[in-house]
Amino acid sequence: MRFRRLSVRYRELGPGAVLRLYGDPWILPLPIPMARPEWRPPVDYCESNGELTVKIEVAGMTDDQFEILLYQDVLVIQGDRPWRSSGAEARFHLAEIRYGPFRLELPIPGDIDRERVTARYEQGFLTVHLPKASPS
Amino acid sequence: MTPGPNPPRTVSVPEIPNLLPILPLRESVMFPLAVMPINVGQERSLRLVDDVMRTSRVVGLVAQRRAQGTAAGLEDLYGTGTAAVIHQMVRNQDGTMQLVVQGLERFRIDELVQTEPYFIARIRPAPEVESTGNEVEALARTVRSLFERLIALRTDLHGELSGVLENLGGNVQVAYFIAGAVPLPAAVRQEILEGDTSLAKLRTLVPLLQHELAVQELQKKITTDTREQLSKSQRDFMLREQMKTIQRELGESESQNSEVRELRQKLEEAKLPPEPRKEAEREISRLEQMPPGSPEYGMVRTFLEWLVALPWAKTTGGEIDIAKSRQILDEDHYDLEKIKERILDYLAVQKLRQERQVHAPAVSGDSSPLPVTPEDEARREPILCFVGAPGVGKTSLGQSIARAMGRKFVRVSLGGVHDEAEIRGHRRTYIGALPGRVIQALRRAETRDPVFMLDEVDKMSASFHGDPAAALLEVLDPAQNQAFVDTYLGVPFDLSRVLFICTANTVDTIPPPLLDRMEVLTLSGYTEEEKLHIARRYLLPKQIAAGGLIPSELRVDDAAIRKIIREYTREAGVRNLERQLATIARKAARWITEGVKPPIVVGPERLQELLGRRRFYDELAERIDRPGIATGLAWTPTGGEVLFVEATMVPGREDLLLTGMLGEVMKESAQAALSFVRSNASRLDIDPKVFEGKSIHVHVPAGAIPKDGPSAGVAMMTALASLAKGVPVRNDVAMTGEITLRGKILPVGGIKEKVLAGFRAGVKTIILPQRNEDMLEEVPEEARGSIRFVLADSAEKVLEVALAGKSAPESKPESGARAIH
Repeated sequence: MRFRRLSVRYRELGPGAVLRLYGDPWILPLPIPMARPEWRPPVDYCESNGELTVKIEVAGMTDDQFEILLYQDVLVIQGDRPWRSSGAEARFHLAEIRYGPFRLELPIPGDIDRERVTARYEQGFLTVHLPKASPS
Repeated sequence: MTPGPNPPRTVSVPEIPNLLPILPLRESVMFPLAVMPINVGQERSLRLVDDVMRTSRVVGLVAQRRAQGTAAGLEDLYGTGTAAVIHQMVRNQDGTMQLVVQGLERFRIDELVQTEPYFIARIRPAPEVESTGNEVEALARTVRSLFERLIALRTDLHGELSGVLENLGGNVQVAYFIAGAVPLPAAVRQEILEGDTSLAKLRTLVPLLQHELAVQELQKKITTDTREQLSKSQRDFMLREQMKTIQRELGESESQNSEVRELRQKLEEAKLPPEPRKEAEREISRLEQMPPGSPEYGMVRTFLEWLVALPWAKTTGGEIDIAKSRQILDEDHYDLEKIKERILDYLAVQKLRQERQVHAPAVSGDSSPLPVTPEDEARREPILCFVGAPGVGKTSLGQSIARAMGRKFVRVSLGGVHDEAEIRGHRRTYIGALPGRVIQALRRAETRDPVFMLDEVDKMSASFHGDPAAALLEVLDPAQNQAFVDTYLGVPFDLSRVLFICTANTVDTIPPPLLDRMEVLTLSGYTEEEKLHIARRYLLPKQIAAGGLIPSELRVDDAAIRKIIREYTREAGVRNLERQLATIARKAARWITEGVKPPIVVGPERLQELLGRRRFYDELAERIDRPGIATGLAWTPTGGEVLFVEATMVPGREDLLLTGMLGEVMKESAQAALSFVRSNASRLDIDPKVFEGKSIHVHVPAGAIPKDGPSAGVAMMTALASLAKGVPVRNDVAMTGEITLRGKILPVGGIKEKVLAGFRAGVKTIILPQRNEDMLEEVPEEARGSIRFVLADSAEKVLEVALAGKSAPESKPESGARAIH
């Protein structure tokens, strides 16, 4: 169901808007903009000879706090960065790090060898490898 | 970690505690899922944010009921707010904070559990209910279409917004989204927030959107209109500036300005009455707007020049001295006693009026058409009409009147005028249009009370261009001419102070309505004696001066002048006489320059040398040499004429042939004459058989001149009787009169002119109708003395006189009469 909604959105905004799509998709130049409640971590998405690599910067997590979903044409990575209260005396001057639920959606080509997809979380980066299916 | 086709887990949102710190918002309302920057400055709010930042980072955002002041308790806040998470926070140098918050969920405040240092409320989450059903569907569609129209109108709303609507989770979010996108007052947004169902929210939204749409449409229209207006006036301005530059380059603008200035100044000086003044002002301001190159510029300028050049207020009529006037008239004209009397009467009236102030002030300046008052009626100038043969002094009489009155004299010849526009002017729209002759003459006169001579009013004719006489009616009618409107000027001009004098050769061709407005004064032709005086006193001195001579150098004796009058001219007036004298004067001038010693004396014997062969011979003696010819007297516009009626008989069919361009009346008159002669043959001592088997031919020379009228009846009867009896008519007898079938002689007009014509021709006896006896008084003494008048009332009496002798008796020349050879 979620898959279906996503596919509609891709088509509507078209190729020119793709980059913006990966940001907070509802934030638009409005008096009061609206956005999804989830935030979106920064991502590198690159392609080499044999595979596609998705690298997400999201620190302060443990392996089991990620949920990675692979649809026919979309890769969804979501999770919840936990927020722990600071000390009673703490007084913030600047707060830019977002906590709580995040969500990332990336389109993927269809020729992925789904059996060989791997993911690893290391030093604050989550890396997902998507090997291309070898032509048979 | 291994990806798999697991159903997606609902991602948790930050938990909302039951006790929530409340941050009051001024003039804004937070919606769930909305992202909003907030500035925080109040001490208690800073404390609140400090505390929240290190704990849950969730605050309750509730709008204040009033925009100003600090909320003191629950009563100052709305009961519904939105719990929001603080995404980002920056503390500024001055201690205030900027936050970026995002709404999470709607809540209602149950109670305040803490007011100091900041509010903490016990809240209860109040999630919106997504309505279902047809109504909400319809409302949603309405809202969307309204919103799309609004986007199209507003440039500040992003075009992509309409696409976003499709992707929002539900109608609740649609409502919030639109409420956030459209500028609305906080109270209205709060109302939308408080609606519990999507249905309620959309219902609130629809009228608001409709209102906003209407306002926007109106605003856009206003903007467009003003822009169009602005751009048009800007464009005009630009073009005008460019035009000015071009004109400056061409060196035109300076002259235009000076022209306009000059016209304005003239306008001031001309003292126009209010109505023409208004018209002139209007035209001047039009002129200023025009480029000098445009064809209309010239038209408008000419019009204005006419307007300012007219004598609206100028008069010259000065003091009138009757004795001096008499002197002036006598100086200029010989005799004409009756006319002079009439003119002096008129001048006397003017003088008395002037002295007794019946006259309106000379400069009234007001020519607007007012109702005619008896006083106006009284100060009207009469319209005189001089009727007489050419050269009798009609025009010069007008000049004398002007001189006597101290007024300007203008003259307009109407001979041959056949177009109404000549009198009244052409419409200004025509190229080369001009005012009529009346206005043109007034401009020449430069005063509004000149003596205005309308020459040859009898020679106007009507054509398809209209009847100029009808236009003249307006000019000459004292009841209308104080507001005479020339078609070209289009504004009234007061003609009531103008003294109009018309001249004509005959009153017969003047249209009766026009004649009715005039006082006719008749100038008859002059006798030889009068002509001699005129020549001596006026013509000869004038021609001597014109020839560059001094009076002592040329002497023409009376006998020579008489000879000129008799043998070189035949006219009622003196024009040809003057011409002959001019010829003599020129010849004299030439001789003097060739060395002949003055004075040059001209006697009758030198005329052949000076003027050539004599021009006129006595016709009577030469023409009447056999029976069947009679001398008639005719009246013509140029004075009287002698004419001959010739009758002859040839064997043939018994009928009457009439030739000589005779009019209907004259032909009938000839038939009547013949019938009378035949029916009374025995009584008239005529052989009744003389007409049998004969065709009778009556001819009246000169054959090329049209003739008409009944007054030749007697002459024709006499000619026929003479023919029938074989007795010639006496060659010194002339006659006039109408004849009836019974032989009665009826009176005719123009007796004076006819008698003078006969006198000039050397007639000794003139037969006149009995009933014309009283008109003999008009005949000048000189003619009366040398002609025998026979008054006849019957044909018998006429024949008795006309056929008295067997042949014309030879007679010796008498004093004052012509010799008959």
